[in-house]
Amino acid sequence: MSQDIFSANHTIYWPELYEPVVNFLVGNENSDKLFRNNAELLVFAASVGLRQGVREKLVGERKEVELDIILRLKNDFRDAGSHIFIIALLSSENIDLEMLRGTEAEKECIRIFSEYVCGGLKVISELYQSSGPLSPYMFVQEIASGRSFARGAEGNSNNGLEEEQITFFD
Amino acid sequence: MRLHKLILSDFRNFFGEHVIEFSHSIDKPLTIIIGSNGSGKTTILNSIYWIFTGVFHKQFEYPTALVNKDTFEQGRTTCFAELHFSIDEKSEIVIAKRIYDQKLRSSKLSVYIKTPNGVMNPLPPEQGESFLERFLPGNLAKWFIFAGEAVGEIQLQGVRSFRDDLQKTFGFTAIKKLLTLINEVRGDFNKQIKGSGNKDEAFRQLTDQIENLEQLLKDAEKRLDQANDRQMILQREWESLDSELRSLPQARDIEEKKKAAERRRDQLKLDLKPLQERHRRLLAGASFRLMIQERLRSLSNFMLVETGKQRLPSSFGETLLDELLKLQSCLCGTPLCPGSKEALALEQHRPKANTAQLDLRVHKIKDALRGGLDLVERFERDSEELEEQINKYHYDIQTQSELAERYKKELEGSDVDLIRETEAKRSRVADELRRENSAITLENDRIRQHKESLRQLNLKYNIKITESGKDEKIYQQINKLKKLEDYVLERFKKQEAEVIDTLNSELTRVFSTYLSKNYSASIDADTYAVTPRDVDGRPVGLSTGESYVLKFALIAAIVGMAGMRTITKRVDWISDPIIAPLVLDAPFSVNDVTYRSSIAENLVSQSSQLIMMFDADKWNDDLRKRLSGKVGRFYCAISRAKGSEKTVLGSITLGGSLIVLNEYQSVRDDSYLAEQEVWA
Repeated sequence: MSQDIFSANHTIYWPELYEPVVNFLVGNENSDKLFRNNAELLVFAASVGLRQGVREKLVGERKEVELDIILRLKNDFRDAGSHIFIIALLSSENIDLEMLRGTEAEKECIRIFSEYVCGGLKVISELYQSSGPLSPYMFVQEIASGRSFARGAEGNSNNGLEEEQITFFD
Repeated sequence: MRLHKLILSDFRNFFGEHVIEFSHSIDKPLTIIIGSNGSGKTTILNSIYWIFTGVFHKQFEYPTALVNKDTFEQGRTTCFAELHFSIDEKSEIVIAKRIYDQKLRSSKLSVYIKTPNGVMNPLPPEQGESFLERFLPGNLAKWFIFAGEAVGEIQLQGVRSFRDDLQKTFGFTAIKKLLTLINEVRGDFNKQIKGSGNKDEAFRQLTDQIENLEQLLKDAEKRLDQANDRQMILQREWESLDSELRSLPQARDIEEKKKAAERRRDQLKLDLKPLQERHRRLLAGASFRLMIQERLRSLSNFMLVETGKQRLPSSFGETLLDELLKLQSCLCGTPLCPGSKEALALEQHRPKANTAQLDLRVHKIKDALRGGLDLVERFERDSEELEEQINKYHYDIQTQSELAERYKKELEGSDVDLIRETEAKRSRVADELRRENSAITLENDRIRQHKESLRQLNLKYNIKITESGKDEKIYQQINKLKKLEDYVLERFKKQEAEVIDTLNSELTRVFSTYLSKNYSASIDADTYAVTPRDVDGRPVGLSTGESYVLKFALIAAIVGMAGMRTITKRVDWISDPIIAPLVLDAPFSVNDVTYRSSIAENLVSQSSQLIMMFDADKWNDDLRKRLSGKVGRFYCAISRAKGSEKTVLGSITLGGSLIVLNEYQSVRDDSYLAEQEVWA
């Protein structure tokens, strides 16, 4: 079970400031929203932050998501718990698997993950404000395809990471 | 009957006296009168009708203003129409004259019989009408003397009045009266027997039963007739409503189609939802991997390499540590005495010795990478597939929406309330019709039962009479009368069948001769309803032109049958059918030019005498050729008018000469008849 890969429950915090874009992207299956709950969005946001090399410490009012919720995600999100570690592993240029060892390392991974969540939400929020009227699907598709960044989205702080031009839609 | 001459005196637009001699020879039965509008053709027709019936056709305007206006202004307030006719070529001439007094607004009929030596024997005034009635009953005159437009009013669906008129024309009424008389006489004889003092109670009861049953039968037959009449009316009403509905947009059909399209559209929308949800979830699940897929691949490769080099974080376990301390010897052989610095150094590795969680994490990460990259690989293909399906749904939804919209517009263009109302009416009439049909079936059954019961009772009655031996002479008379009745009835039914058969043949002949389609006609023996049918025997509808051909053919056939002039078959009459000339005004006004000549030709061939009046523009070469050899007299009705000549003049060409039908600068506005030489 995913819960075994963490020895304790943790809390992931995210800035309340980005609630509008969270509301734009999160909803139930009867809506046109892409993510079913905040936990799914945070997993995505962490990837965005990592890709753009944007890590932010939490400031201001905060919202929270319990780690348990992330670990209980299903279907294509069932590996979300592992993704936390993956984000942490990919955060440095040299992959150090020792980051996976022990309780302290676990806390460190959570911290790195959270910072990338904040950074990713910042990027997403800025794109949301500058984009035209798009459906949640199209909006995320633009981000996931890299087209949003190719159009010169701001906030590309590399942090030593190469900006990737990922194109998979011809 | 043959018409010889018509004299009009100060009658309508005919100032003074005007005479028309009609052709009445067998080989040239046709008299033609051609004139422009208002030249007096309809007046001539109505004068003949008036003489026979005392009334005018309902289309005849101002029937109380008969005296020519110039005549009236001169102080003369009367006019007359006088008809000379005979039963056949050899019989005496009958002169019927109706005089109209415009001041009194009344008319008087005088009838004379002109003997061969020229003596005029007047009939008593009170006998005049009934005398004329014998030649042409008033209610049948409309069949022989009529305007072309009136043909449209002939109902061929078997209206009771149509059947009655035909039966009268064929002389069947007389036969029916005879049958009724025979029955009455038989009834009188039966009463005699009953009142002859026979004390047999059972016999009296039997006679009462027979009488009651005969009455019941009569009542049932009357009810049946009435039910049949009502059924005819309802049938016509239903057909009329049905025809009306067929000319209106089919609202119910359109509404159902609209609803079906809306249902399909809504179902498609419902079916689309889960597909769209799958599409969203596919992207959601792939998105956080797609963002960093290269990095994930790198990590996956790294772990693969490290696995291959067995360089993943040490996999020694805590158990190994405990074993070594227990053995007090390391793997390399170094002693591990309890409390020694070597033992303490080994203890320091204990926190890292437990690799269960590490292994699990590594394992899970590998799994996650494998699954994630696999999803990324499949994402494009899966997404495209879903998008294609979704697009198809959108397309289908759009199609159904457009369809529903189109039907909605069609409905908006129609008066839905009117359609619904008409449909409801038709439905009500259909229900009434069904009830009426049930009632007819019931009455038919009842009549059959009554007849059978009557037959049984009559049998008993006859036996009783024979056994009693009394009133034998009367009984014999009754028997004879019964036989006579049966004989007349049989002959009548045979005659009626003959008539129907001949009518069928004649109408079918006309169809095949003059119409382009292979139609036949069938006449219902009970109702006399005329139904055109195709080669497969199915009822068909006729165009207006074809319908008029049929109606004129029917008239010609009726007239022809009566005069034994029908072409396909001849009826051997036991009755005296009405034989009268046909007088037609404007028979071509209602006909297609296609059928005009053929109708005229058929009418002439069937009629013992035919008088036709029509406008100059109907006269053409084809008509002239078809009628050539049949015309005995030809008149032009010339209109005279005061004032200057108009540029538009009516005219015809006859025998190479131009005949103008209008004259101007006349003393008065009136008409006269100019006889023309019949062309060769």
